[in-house]
Amino acid sequence: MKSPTSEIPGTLPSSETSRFIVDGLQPQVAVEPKSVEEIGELLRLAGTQKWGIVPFGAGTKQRIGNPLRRFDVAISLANFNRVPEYEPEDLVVKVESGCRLVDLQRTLAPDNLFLPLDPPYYNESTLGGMVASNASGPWRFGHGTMRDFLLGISVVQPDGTPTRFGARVVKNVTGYDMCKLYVGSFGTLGILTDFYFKLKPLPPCEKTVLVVLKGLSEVGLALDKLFSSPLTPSAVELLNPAALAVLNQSISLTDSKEGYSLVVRFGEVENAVKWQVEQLERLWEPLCAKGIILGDIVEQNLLWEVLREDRSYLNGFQGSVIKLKVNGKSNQLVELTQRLESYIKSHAGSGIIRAFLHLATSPPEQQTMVACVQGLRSYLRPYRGTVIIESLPLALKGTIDVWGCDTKDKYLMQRIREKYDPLGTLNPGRFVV
Amino acid sequence: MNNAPVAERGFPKEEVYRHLVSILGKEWVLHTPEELIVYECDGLTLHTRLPDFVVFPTCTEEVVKIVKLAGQYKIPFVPRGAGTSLSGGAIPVEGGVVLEFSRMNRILNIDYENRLAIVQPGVVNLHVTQAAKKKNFYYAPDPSSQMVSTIGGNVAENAGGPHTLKYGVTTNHVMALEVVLPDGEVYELGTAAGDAVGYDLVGSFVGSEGTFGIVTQITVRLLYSPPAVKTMLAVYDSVVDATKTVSGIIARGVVPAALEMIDRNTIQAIEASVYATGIPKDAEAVLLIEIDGLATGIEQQMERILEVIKTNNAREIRVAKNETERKKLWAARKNAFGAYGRISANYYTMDGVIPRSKLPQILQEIDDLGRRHGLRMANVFHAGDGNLHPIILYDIHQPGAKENVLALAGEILQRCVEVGGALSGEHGIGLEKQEFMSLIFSEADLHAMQQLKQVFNPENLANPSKIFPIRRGCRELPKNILESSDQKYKAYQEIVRF
Repeated sequence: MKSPTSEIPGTLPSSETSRFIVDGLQPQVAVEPKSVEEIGELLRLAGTQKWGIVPFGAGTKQRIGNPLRRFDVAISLANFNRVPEYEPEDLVVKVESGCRLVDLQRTLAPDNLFLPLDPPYYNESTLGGMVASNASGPWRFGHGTMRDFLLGISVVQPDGTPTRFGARVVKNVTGYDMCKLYVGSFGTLGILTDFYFKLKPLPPCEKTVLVVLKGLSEVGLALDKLFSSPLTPSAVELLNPAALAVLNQSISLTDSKEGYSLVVRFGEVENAVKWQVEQLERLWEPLCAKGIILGDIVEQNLLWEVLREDRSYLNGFQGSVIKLKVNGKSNQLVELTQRLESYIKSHAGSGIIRAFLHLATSPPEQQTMVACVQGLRSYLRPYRGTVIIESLPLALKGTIDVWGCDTKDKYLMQRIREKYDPLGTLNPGRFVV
Repeated sequence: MNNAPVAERGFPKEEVYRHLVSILGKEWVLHTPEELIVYECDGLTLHTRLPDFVVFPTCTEEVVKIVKLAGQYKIPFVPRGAGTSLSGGAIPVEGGVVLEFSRMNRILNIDYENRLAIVQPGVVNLHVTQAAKKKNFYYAPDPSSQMVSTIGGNVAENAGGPHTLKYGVTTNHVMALEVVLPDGEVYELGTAAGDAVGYDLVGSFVGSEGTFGIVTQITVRLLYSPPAVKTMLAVYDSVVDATKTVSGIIARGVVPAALEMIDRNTIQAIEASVYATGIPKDAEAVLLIEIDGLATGIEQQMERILEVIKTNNAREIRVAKNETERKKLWAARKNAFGAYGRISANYYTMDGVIPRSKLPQILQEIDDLGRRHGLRMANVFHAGDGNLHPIILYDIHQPGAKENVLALAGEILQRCVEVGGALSGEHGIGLEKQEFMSLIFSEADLHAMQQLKQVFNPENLANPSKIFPIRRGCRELPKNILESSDQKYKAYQEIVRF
């Protein structure tokens, strides 16, 4: 078997390969192709040489996944960073996969438009990484997720063939909806090179309400009341006492150290926002110990940044951390929150909890942790809920499947993988299949 | 090639009939030509073909037995809801078994806590909303056929509707599916508990036009009904002014619930019919605009829209003051298709989608193309989405009419693709447009799509000979597409379908 050599076009100096470490593995070569043709050539070569390839955006999601089976070449999409088509009137934009989300938002802002996705690592994330990892944040409650915004996609198939699906129109049933296949595929079905996205107008006015509730049972009541009302918040997040403490360390909004907190954001025309804030106060007043309304946009953005990002939560720990994404039903939130003693923040409306668990150093305690995750998985299985371990110390990787997907439909996913990447070139070993 | 027509397979019909009867009982297996004729086509009435059997399952287990039987004898099968597809999705083009879902029409659960409904595929779209109404929830996708079309059919075709501009199409509201694949295995896809892990199998399945397998249970998202609605109608002397209003509204940051356009020929047809609503007959275009949301704030939105309408020289603006007036404004839009019958012997309704900013250019071009072919055109469509429905008016008894209409339709589709659009916004490809797929997709693109089909349907038994080109290189619409306005199928025209 031949090793990748610097004869591949776009190969970076060997000193650069250390930027592309995944789970402690460094690739033999890192490549920064300039065109779809170069990507195609590289993939064809990889196929004949049985290389393992990892596509790279900003690398912020590379900690997610099982250990790589092999890692020969990193493909950086850094040269694919343009916004080649943008028609504000159509509310549609074409973006290359290496373009950063913030750079796209900067292009759109003068026209009062945005792509309403706010994943963690907002400032670093590239659109390619976001599509591949189906990245989302608090806005998912009011706006939806990547699958609701992706209209078209260009993919270099694992055999090197360039393909294109969808179009720059907002409604389209011309053949299969292939865009959906690539959202959340973690780089296993091809190299994604550009996208068409549907955009939304920026909200003309925004307000944020933060309340501290008397207890966890009040959280359930408050959410029930909110979801059976006509209010249309753009985000609804739940913080447990530990997470609230982290928030207070970053920005001192309340002096409450105890209690659960709900943070709700509204974004619409001014009097609709004003009316909703008033309604929310009325709905929740009997349940709350404390409430704050933020109108200042700078203050609001600061708050939402802390909520969105992992940074402050991770800083709260000494030593190793496990980060979980718990997928439950909306009405299981309270029970799940009770079961998880850690820093948690959750997308309350969608039943998704992001939990940060401290990991003890002693092996028996680590085994207890693994057992705890497995217990949670068994509890959620009947509801088709899941627990993904998004971050895990290297030593423990390989001792537990980070995806925890063992349902019958996994067979179909295996078949998909085999059809499109029969040689297992892309991200070998890391994904569900 | 996976999509090649399944050969005309001889199979022991008597034997298969006996098996089907043993699964469902004699009453629920149709097999005589007189019984089968109803199922030889759907809303498209193209390539009429009698199925060998029509069966009426009541549960997933029966569907499994039928599909396994079909697999055993290598007989094609096609699921069918209300049969309102406009692209031939439910036509059993290679014969075989049609599974009719009218007996699987139960709403299994409405879970208000998690804001979702679990339904069987034969449930009529509108019935979901009606069932959730008492707690103020509704199911958002509203194809104009929603009074008859089923959720199973909506899932297969990824159905749209006038209100998709703000709320999205079927795929944006389906969370989980139970499906029976051609190998007879039952799979649960997706989840109502957070994000699904692994590939988005639900997203892949929705819109696969019955070519992946059969949906037997659907979990859909419910939304809280917006408490306030405002509907207005604006009359224009120029199409360009009307289209400028469309882009002006979108550019102002307002996303209306619906934004529909009606052109001059359609206005004249409506005003000459029993559906007349008093729109000036010499008007060039009418926009029907609906916004919804909270009672507070909706006025502010409406003011913004009215400003745009006035700036763009509307000659008349009507705002509905109550539900009766609102229904009257919508009546013009909804009855347009019934009205064409008065001004033309036959008509062919097309479906194409373009970037919104190309509306003025494309509408003009469609007009010019029609004139060049000596054919009158009308247009009533979802302007906000850029989803066109050009209607070609013609008389089938004129010599050469069919060829002329099909040539024009082909040229229109070609232009839609050339400006960055696509072949279908909401009707699907089915049999109608399969030969046009290579206009928009390369061989490699089509091959990648077929690979996905092979994952689910490797033996090509589920709804064969659809979506992908068969007569390679021959890029035209099938001729018998125009039979749809024959008297025989008048019944279909009573249903508003787009």
